[in-house]
Amino acid sequence: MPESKLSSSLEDYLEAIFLLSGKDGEVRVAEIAETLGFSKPSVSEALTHLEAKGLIEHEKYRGVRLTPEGRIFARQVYERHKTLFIFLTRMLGVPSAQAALEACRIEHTISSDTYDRLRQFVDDQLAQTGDGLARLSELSPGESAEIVRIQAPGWFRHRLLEMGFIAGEVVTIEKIAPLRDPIEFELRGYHVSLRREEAAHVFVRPIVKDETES
Amino acid sequence: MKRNRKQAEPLASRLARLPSLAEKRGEIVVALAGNPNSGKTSLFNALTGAHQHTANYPGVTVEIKEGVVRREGVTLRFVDLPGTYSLSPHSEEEIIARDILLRGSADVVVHVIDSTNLERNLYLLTELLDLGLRVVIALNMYDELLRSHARLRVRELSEALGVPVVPTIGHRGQGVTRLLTAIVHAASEPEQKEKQKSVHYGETLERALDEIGKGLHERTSLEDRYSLRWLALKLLEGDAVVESLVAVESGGEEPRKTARGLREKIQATYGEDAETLIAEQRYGLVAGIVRQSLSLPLEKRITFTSQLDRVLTHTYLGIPLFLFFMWALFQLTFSLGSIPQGWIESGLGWLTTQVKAGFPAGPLRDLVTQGILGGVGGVAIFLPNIFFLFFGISLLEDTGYMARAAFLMDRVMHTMGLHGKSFIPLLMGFGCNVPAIMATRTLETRRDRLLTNLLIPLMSCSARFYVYVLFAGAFFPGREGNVIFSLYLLSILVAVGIGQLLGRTVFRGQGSPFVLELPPYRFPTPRAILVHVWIKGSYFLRKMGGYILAFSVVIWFLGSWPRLPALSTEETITKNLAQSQHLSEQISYSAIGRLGTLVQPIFEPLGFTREMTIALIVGAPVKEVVVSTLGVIYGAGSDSEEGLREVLRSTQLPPLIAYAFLVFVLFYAPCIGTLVAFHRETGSKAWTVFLISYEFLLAWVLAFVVVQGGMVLGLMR
Repeated sequence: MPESKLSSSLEDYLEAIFLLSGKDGEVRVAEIAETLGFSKPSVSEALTHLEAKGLIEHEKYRGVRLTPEGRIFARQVYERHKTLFIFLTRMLGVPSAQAALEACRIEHTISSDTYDRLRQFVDDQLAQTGDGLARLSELSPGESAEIVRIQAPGWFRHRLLEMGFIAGEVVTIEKIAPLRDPIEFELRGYHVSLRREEAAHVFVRPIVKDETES
Repeated sequence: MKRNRKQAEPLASRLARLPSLAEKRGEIVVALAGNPNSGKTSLFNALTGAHQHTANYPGVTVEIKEGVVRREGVTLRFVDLPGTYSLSPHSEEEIIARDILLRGSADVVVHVIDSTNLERNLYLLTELLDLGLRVVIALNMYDELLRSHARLRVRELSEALGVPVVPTIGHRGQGVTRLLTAIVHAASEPEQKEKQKSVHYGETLERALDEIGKGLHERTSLEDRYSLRWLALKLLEGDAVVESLVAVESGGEEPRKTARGLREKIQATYGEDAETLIAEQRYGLVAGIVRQSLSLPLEKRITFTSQLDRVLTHTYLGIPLFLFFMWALFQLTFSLGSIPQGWIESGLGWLTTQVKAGFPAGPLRDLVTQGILGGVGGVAIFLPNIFFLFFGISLLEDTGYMARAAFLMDRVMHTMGLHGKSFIPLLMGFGCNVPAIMATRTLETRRDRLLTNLLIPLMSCSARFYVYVLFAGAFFPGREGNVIFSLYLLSILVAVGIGQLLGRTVFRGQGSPFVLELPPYRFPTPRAILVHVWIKGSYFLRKMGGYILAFSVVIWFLGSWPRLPALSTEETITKNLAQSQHLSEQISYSAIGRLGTLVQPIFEPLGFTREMTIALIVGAPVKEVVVSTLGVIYGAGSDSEEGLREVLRSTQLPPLIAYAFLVFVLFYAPCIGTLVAFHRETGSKAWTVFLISYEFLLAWVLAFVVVQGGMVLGLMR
């Protein structure tokens, strides 16, 4: 992957599969073709490429499924898209239809260095307006959020990773202890509690209605 | 990162020091690994029954149990590793579990999994497989999985992982026979290792792993001892312990540099570090396999656990309920425990009279009745408390309430630099320090255990209460309640202060992240609880009883020798008076009495008399003795409380000094039992010496402040 950069259309395929994957993680070829507006044979050809790169698994007569590596990659493409979309609409005032279209183009060509700076900028702006990413410690019981990244000292981040706090995972806030600390969370089907100061290292996107699809 | 360097250095030497787990002749060594709360210990008990003992690893303070089972003519030696979520070097438990697995001394690893929590539990499996170990999975608590209406295709899971999977119900001993068969099979099956899947980390990472592995293979001889793939992974993750392990190896510098370069490259291309990517891949694989083999019930059921938690961790009800449980635990341990303590005392009293009747009066009889029987009593008296406390603690642990207790109390304990789980041992310290120190085993990291153990002796135990009552009655009539209350308050305040001080100095920056799992509530089985209580009680007798007894005899000896020259009958005026005088003179004449005279200058600034100093020395190992010793030295005619109080009052000691004396008694030195327990649990002479010295210093300084402060305020009459 990053060494032999994927063509922009392959990135689109990955992103589409990522967004279409249901609970069982499978997507039908017809769905992909419909979403992207390509013919089924050309979809099949692209899928063969992706499979050869080890990014998806595709068994005959069954759906398409992302490999763990493919999932990471797809999520990054999707993240880029979202960040660009927010930047274009909220910070530059570009109308959303146009922004969605252009985000789709820029996301494939932007360099990782420029993107990092852009992401930092967007995060800062959103933080100032009290919008966008939240810290896990800021949510109320009953709310769910998707983990975006963990900004913590090495060994603590490692511990969180091992406990399953991984980008893309959904965490639900179960309860706040009577003395307001610690906080109980649910993820991956189990319950865990973190201190407020620890949970503040986890940046999440509260789950609300999704406003951007490419 | 400082902590890592500290742990990094001794790994190689620690590995060399670890004794080989067993003489490998016709014996299969089986390590039990698993997450906390996976029911690993109850499965271990079911596998080995009573045939288990604590393994001795030099320098390792974490308890590791071993047990032996014979099966199909083979001897299986089980080693119960500490419960861990991963094999990262974050806590001593993880390092030890990892060291034992790394040494390759385990022929088979049984990975015990909580069936109701597959994803998180299987993360550890990916690490075990990367180590290249033969693994058998025990799908524990299988009954709960069935009850949850989820459907797990066990064979599919087994095939997807390439690892044998055996459903078990540890606390009922079910599935044990099949598990034993699977272990024997896995140990002897040559293809087992080839069948096992390991995580494919994606092309980029795999290429990096190959490159590092190649460097290690060509330049070092590490592959004789370790799995190269695992080393490469750890280097890529930047694991400090492994980095230094490779660095000290000849030719290790080059592969380490390669790994560093690759780390940076990966960070640059992916925008994420290798650690994150590796964890993502592991969870990716595990989640995929779980999704394929497990069907969850369609609607999310409101579980028994969440219903119970609505009450037990409720915003307003949670803490009152917790305090009620703590009150009940305290009553159970110390009020109910005092009943068998009474039996023990009267039993020993009866034995003493028997011996007195059977032996002629003299030093030998004194040794047996006062020294030995007194010492035995000093040991046995702890047993009822230990049994009742661990009955209660097992109940709290096995039901899952212990985690809630930590959840509720962490806010309070955190201000002292402690973990929420420290609350229960500290609270129990008010009853008796010995079982309280033993209860720190429930804490997960060595740092938390050590810090809690250092604070427990500051908790004013019931033996000290006995001293307060007499002194307060003698010197503060009518104000006993306030005086005693102030001492308890002081005990807590000082513990908080010392906790913060130690947390910010000696233990600085080592705070363990809280990350506390809240497992589902479970019904405890009587068998598991009784086994736990039995293990704790016998552990106390085996590992601590002997020392306590020996120390008691020595102290008694020092208080009775050298003996006064015998009194002639002419010197006897009235028998009663002579006897008490004799005892008083005997103590002053003994080694301890002489020591008292010697160290008296230290206590001069506190206003303590020589008699008080001697009482402090005699009472250092057993605090309730302070009062009776004073009574003896001052020549109290009788042992009755009223008599002692009269004598104390007659000394005309200023109340201010009496109060300073109580403050000193509160803090000055842990009793023998506490010291032995502390030394056993921490495994460190240095910390034990530290405990004695800081407590003594603390007691002196506080007593001094009381006396000087009181004088300034004009309280000295």
